[in-house]
Amino acid sequence: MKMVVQNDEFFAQVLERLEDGHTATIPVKGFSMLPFIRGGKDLVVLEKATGDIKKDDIVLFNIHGKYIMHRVLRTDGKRFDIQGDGVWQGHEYPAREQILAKATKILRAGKKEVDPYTKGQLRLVHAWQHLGKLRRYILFIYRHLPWNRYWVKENYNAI
Amino acid sequence: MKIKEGFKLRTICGENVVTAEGTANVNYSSLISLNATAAFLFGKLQGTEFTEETAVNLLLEEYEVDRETAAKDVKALFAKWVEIGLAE
Repeated sequence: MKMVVQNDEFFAQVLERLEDGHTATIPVKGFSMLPFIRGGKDLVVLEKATGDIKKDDIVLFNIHGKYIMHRVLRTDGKRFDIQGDGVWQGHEYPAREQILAKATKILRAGKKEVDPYTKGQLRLVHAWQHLGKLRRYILFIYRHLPWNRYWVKENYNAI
Repeated sequence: MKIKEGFKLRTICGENVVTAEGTANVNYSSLISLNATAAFLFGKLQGTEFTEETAVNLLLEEYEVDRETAAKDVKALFAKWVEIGLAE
């Protein structure tokens, strides 16, 4: 399960703008960053990934021909162990040059601006990661809540 | 009438879309999609002062269409452009 964010040509455009020094607000798809980013609902503001990529950064990278946005679990500055917040198995290990952009803001429901790196947010992230395999069952219930049914159905195509 | 500054016509995935690039942030969640005719007019009219008449004449030169239909389409298109803040 991956958060695949549309296609190559789209990203070529977005990355070109980032290269120009713009930031870019993009829609995302998929469930793999739940509960912190909801595909099809939330928007993500990206900036070019310059300088150091740190633990907890949400990064856009290109690996095996796919664009994926997940979170850095561990890094020594050269190697990166990356996993989606909503994923309990499966890691990605992109090289530094495959990491293209960093998420700087999340717009919840496209509106409410959230800085994903505040102490409070990261405390939530770490608590969530600590749940380990339990996340799987929580997300299963979350995705089957009656009021989430339509959104989930819409998003299935993206996986 | 004129197209506001900061908009750029691009082809993304085979679609003609207008992105707002005047600001520091480019918002890809609210792209303005144009059909071929609207994209043609956007390309010709951007950076100029124009009237509905200008656009109708451009359409008549480029497409096989009668003046009445072209005028009707241009009126509807420009109303939409003003409504969404693309032109003023």
